[in-house]
Parts: sequence; C-alpha cells; structure tokens
Amino acid sequence: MRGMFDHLTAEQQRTLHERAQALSSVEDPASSTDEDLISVAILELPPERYGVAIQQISDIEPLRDVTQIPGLDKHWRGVVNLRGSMYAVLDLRVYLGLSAPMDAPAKPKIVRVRAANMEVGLLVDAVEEIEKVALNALTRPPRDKGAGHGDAVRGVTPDLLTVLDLDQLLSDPRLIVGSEEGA
Amino acid sequence: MDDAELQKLLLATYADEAKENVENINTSLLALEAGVEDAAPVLEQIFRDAHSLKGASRAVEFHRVEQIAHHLEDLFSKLQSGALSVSGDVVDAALKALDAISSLNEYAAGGDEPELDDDAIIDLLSAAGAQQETPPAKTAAKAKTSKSPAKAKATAKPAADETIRVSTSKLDALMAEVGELLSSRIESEQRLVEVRGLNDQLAEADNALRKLRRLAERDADEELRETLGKVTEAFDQLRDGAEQLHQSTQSGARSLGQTIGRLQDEVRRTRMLPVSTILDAFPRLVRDLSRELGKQVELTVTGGSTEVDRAVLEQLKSPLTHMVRNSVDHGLEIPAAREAAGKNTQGTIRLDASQRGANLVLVISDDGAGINPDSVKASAVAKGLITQEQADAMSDREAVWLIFRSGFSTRVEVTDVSGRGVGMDVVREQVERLQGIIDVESQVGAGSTFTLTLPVSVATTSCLLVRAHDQRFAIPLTNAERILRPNDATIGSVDGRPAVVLDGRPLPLASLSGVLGLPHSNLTSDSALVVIASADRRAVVQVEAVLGAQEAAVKSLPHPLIRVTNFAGATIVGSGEVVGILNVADVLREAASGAGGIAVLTSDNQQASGEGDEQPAGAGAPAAVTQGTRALVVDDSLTLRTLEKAMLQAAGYEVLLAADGMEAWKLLQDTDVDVVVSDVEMPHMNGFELTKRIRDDARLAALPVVLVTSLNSTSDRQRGVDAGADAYVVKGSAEQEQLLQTLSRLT
Repeated sequence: MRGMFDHLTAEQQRTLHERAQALSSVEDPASSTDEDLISVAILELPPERYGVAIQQISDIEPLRDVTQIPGLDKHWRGVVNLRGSMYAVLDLRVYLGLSAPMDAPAKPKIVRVRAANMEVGLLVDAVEEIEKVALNALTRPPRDKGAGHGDAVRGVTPDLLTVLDLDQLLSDPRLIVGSEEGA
Repeated sequence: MDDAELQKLLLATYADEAKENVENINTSLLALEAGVEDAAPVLEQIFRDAHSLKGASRAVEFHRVEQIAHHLEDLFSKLQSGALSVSGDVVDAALKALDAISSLNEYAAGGDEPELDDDAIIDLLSAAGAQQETPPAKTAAKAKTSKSPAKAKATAKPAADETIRVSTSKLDALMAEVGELLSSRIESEQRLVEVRGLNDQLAEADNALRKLRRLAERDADEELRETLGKVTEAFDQLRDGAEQLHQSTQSGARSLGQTIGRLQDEVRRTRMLPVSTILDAFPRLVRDLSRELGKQVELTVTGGSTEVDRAVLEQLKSPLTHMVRNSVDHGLEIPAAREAAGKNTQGTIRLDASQRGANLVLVISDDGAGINPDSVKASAVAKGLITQEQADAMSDREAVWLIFRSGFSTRVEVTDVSGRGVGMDVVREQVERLQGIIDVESQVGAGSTFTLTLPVSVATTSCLLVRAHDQRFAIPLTNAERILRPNDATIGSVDGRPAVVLDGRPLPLASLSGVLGLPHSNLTSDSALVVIASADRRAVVQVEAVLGAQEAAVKSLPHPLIRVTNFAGATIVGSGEVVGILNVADVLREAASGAGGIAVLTSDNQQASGEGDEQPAGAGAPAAVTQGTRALVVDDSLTLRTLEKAMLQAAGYEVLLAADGMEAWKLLQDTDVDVVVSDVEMPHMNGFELTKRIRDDARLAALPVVLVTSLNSTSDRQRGVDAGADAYVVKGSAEQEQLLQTLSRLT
C-alpha cells in the first residue's frame, strides 16, 4: 500500500486513506464493526511509531503556547488552552522513556485524547495516516520495550507499529499529581 | 403534580415562612430580655408570630410543631397579659422551644430527623409559665396594651419582596457561564488592540504609498501613474474600511465589556447573601454562652448588609463562631475581675463587616483581658513549638502571633460541640483554606481585635499579574498586599536569611522564581517586590516585573493535575495563553522553609550577612518624593485603582481616588492635589475631557495631568496633547517605571 503512493505528500496520502476508510465503512459495515480490526492513528516519535485508536482521539492541533507549571515531573509539558478549555499536556517521548531525537521535530502536534475518564493532550513529533490494524495479528512486545509501561502496550504489528492501550496508559497512578489532601 | 409532590412543596413553602417567624421571635425575645422601652408592641408581635406558626403548621399537618407552638403561644399570651414577666428562665424556655421548632422545620425541608423530646420542651414551657402566680402590678402595662393597637398595626411587617425559589445548582451553572463570558470580554479587548495595530500599520503603508506616488509623478510613464492612482484609490478605500472596522470594533468592545460587566455583577449578586445571614445567629450564641459562664456581654453587630458569595459565607460560620466563643470565654473577664480592673462589668464584643475593594473585611474585637505575650510564650515553649531562647528573643508583638501556630491549642478537647477548647490555630487553617488573611492586635488589659480579610467571590478573582523567570503568574489580589521597589524597602537579614522590615516586623524575602523551583534571579533595582499574605503569614517575593491587574475566571488545573504545590488553579488570558494562579499559602510555606533564597546584591544594598541579628540596611537613593505629594488617581476599574494606589503609595505619594472624570472633577473643586493620574476610557467624562476642563479652569490650569491608558495610537496621543495633558503613559510592562519617573518629573 505504501509503495504505491510514495510520490504523494504525507498529507495527500492521509486524505486518500481517510476517503478509503469512509467509503469502505459505508459499503462494508460488517468489517468496520469487526472486533479484530481497529482503526488507529499513527503517532510518530522517531524512530518509534505508535498506534492509538481513533475513537479515542478528539482533536489534533499544532503545538503552541503550552504554559509550563513549575514543580511538575518532566513528563508533563504543561497546560494548554484548546478551544477554550485547559488540558494537561503529556510529553509522550519523555513518558515512554525514549531518548531525545536527533533533530528537533519540525511541527510537533498535540493529540487530544479521551481515555480512562480523562482528557489530556499527548505531545508527539508528528501524526501520520490512519491504518486499520488486526488485533489478532499483534505480537506481545519483548519485556524491555515500553520502559516499564508494559501494560500500556497492546502489541506490535508486523510492520513494527506499537499499538497503545490508552485506557491503561492513562490509568497509571504515577500520572496523578497530588491528592485531595494537598501538600 | 401528585399528592406526594404537592405535600413536599407545601412543606418547603411552610418551612420558609416558619423560618422567618422563628427568627423574628428569636430577635424579639433577646430584645425583651435586654430591655425595651415599650415592650407592649413587641409582646403583641411575638404572640402573633407564635400564633401564625401554630396555624401554618396545622395547615400542613405538622403536628409536632403545632403542639410546641401552641404552648409557646400560651406563654406569650401570659407575658402580654402581664400575668408573667420576662425573666431569664422564661426566655430560656422559649428559646429552647424555638430551637426545637427550627430543627423540626429543617426536617420538614428535607433535613435529618432531629432527636427531640417534645414532651420535655412542653413541660419546660408550662413550668416557665407557671412560675409567677402573683401578677405584679401590671395594670399600667395593660393600659398601654389597649392604647396601642394602632401602634401594633404599624409594626406589622411590610409586604415581603416577591421571590421565587431557585436551586443553587442552577445559579452555579449560570455563574459558570458568565465566567466564560469574561474570557470573551478579554478576547474582544484583545481584538480591539489588534485592529488598532492593523490601522496603524495601514497608516504607515499609506505614507509609503504616497511617497511612491510623488516619486512616480516625476516619471513620465503614463501607465505607471495610472496604475498607482488606482492603487491609491483602492488603498484609501481599504483605509476607510479599516477605520470603520476600528470604530465599530471599539464601540462593540466597549458595549460588550459594559454589558458583560453588568451581567457578571448581577449574577454574582444572585449568589451573594448579606453577612447578616450568619451574623444574626451571634446575639443568641453570645447570650447563651455568657449566661453559662456567668459573664455579662454586650454584642454589637454592624455591616450586616455587606454581601458575600454564598460559598464563602458558608465557610465563614465556623471560624467566626470560634472567635466569638473565644472572646466570651477567654477574652472577657468575669464581672468581678472587670470591676477590680476599673472596667464596666459588662464587656463588649464588636462584630463588624465591610467591603473593601474585592475583599470582605470582618473585625471581631473585645474589650477584655487581651492576649498575654508572656503566657503565650510559656505555653508555646511547654508545647515544644519554640525553644526558650527563641521565646526570649521574641518581641511582645511577635509573641501574640504564636497563637496561630499549628498545635498551639490542645486538640484533644477540640470539637464543635464542646466549642470552648478551639484554638486560633484551627481558625487560621480555616482562613487559609479560604485564601484569606488574618490579623491580630492585642493589648494586655484592654482587649483584642482580630481582622479577617477574605475574597468576596470565588468564581472570578482579581489577580495581580507578575513576571518571574520570563513567565507570567497570577497572584490573587486579596493575597497581594503591597508593591515595593527595592530602593524604598529596608532590607536586612534575620537568622542569616534576607528579610524586609515592614511596619516593625521582619518579613522573609525570597525570589518568586526560586520559590517555584525555577532558577532564581538576584535582586536589582529593576525588580519589583510584592508583599504577599495568607492566613497569618506574610513574606516579600521578588519578581522581574509587575504587569498589571486583571480579573480572572478561576479554573482548577485540568485532570490529572489534581493538586499541584504552589498553584491554586489557572486562568486563560486575553491572548489565549494559560497563566497559573499561585496558591499563596503554599508559596509562603516554601519561602519560610528557605526555598528561593535571594542574594541581595545591588550597589546600594549591603549583601545579606550570616549573622543572627537584625541589621536594617539603609537602602538606596533617598525617596524622590517630597512628603505629602498628593496624587489623584482616576480610573473606572476598581482593580486598577487599587493597583495604582498601592504602587503610588509605595513610592511615597498620598493617594486620592475617583471612579470617573465627573467624580474627579467634583473632587478637584474642593480638594487640593498635586498631580492627576487618569485613565482615558471612562464613563460620564473621559480622560481627555477631564484634562480639557482642568486646563480651562483658572484655579486648576497649571495642575499636572498624566494620562495612563491602553490606547496607543498616534492619533490618541495627539488628542492627549491637544487636550493639554503633560504626559501620556501607555499601559504595559514598563508602565510602573515610566509612570513614577514621569510623576517625579512633574511634581
């Protein structure tokens, strides 16, 4: 699939893909409700690629004006205003323990996701394409991959896309800052 | 509506009405006990109230209340006929009965079932009624009663205002929506600034274009000239359009701002209740407690009509109750002791509420024994809160503040029921939770005065915007007491740490960025020092700049950032950016523990030394302000007035305030000032008009006028100059500096 459209820009590829999605889901309702196939958006954190269920994605916006809150752990980039509401921004690269990239990302994005009873923004280098992934074709990742976030990884596809379980990931108690008791 | 629902509604309506009756009887009984000149109308009224209570409860088939009310009515009828006189026991019994009726009414309105022995209460009432069998010579009273039916009619209650019941959740939702509007208003002001900027850019482009045309006129090329002519025409149209846009955006922003402001005020007021809602319970509390303790106390309550947000009011009940209880129990002496000390046997407690800016100020003062610094010190040492050396080194003034220290009171006996063991440290915690400030002043033998300062509203807060480490932060204005410049502050060190001496007290000095865990900067003469306060603590924090004041819709930090140290929440400012709102209580704790230590390193201040004693350093250049220079600050924004006043006072000016040009003009007629600092955009009379009037007046013509405004276009400056202003300062980050320099130049 990828080879055929290499001459197009990533944006064009994505558009085509989305159209294909839309058309296929109209003509073939059976396959879209097929439990084994989920649609994921690919979040890029080179050299890694992560897949996140598109149903859990509310919005994708370019990174801008994130207010840092001093005193928070490094994986929290800060707080941002998206469409009039405030969201905490999780730096996915830091959270997953990935090393810093060679070059700074050109146009980082904030992916607003809804899972585990909360809405947060995930900071990623880029968002590319939407793919359909067969859940039963996933292989469990090796022990060390995921840097201690093993539960948050559903599995890896044959072309090395790590599919994340956002509900698990965002349920990490380490993400909660402070309790009702306060300092 | 079915029967069950109807019944529920009836009971709720009854509960409201009954509550009023009970409160009236309560107040009347206390008045009768204290002694009224003409008791007859009051006696008649309480009889009627009890009678209404009986009738209403019967109508909703609330038999328990009906019974008690019936006996109460009997008792009052005896009082009215003169068969019984108002004695402590009679009032006691009646008050107990009223309490019982209150709890039953609350039950009717949906509360918990109270544990009551109805029969015991009825017995009490009967016993009180049977006490005086021999009617004292009260024929005179009887005569009075028959003469005063007219008077009694006159005291009939005026028709109550029409009201409807609205659930608080609906009001909260309304309040939240209006809070959102605040962001819209700020945004529209931002748009206006942008449109103006655009207009200015067009003006510049226009100049360039004209230049181009002039150059082209020398050129022979016909087509070039023609084209340029067309371009110029189009451009002129563009400019006209832009100017129209500017005008409409301006009037739109102004009316939107005014409407939203009014809407906010009105909605805020729906949630506001008069402080009397909780203050009304105090006469009774004081009466009961003083009887129990054998003391004589007179309580005066003033300012009950001051309005406060319901949420804040709810939380005030507890600390106020504790403080009043403390006054009666510990503050006021027994009559014998008071007499021996040459005081009135009757002690006085004063409760006063007032509004100052965005704050509610509550004063609780008594003329009792005062707080003894020596016994407080001894107690603190005994409890291990301070060492003997620290106690010895403490001044009397500082010692008094020890009562607020955690662990000062013995917690074991502290419950709401026992009441009396509750210490000021508990009160301090409650005040801290309300993001308020508590102050105490006490004199042994004369009495004590406690002052509580609290924000009036919870949904929106006036904040001071500051910059630290290149980032903006908001400090709730309630907790930002003063702004100082390093040159005007007396900086020294206490216990090896830098401190600022203010009003005789040394306050810890720290850099705000350091306290927050960011790299901290050193104190320079460009820094600004902000005195922050929360509960009983104060400190001075250094920031890079004070950016101004803003009203902010307070939002909690988003999930999962439930509780972040140093932050009370955040708000979205006009540009769309998120700005963190500081939790001053946290910041003070961090500063006290030594975080954010600051090296005081300007050529004018000596470096903080490591010695333990106070060394107030003579700081910097002498104040550039002659004592008593009076400035009149004119601005329709209360927050900005407060901010500018603080700034100018810190710089040594005496400050008068006016809310718009008209008020300022009136003030100038009979008060002398040395300089006027005025906003431009104001209702009734704007800054330009005010300036013109001043210049046209023979007496005031030479008065220096400085216009301070956010309008920053050449045409506005021109208008300022035309009107006769001496200077034009544009609001922004350099405003403070500029303004002070301008003022010292002009005065």
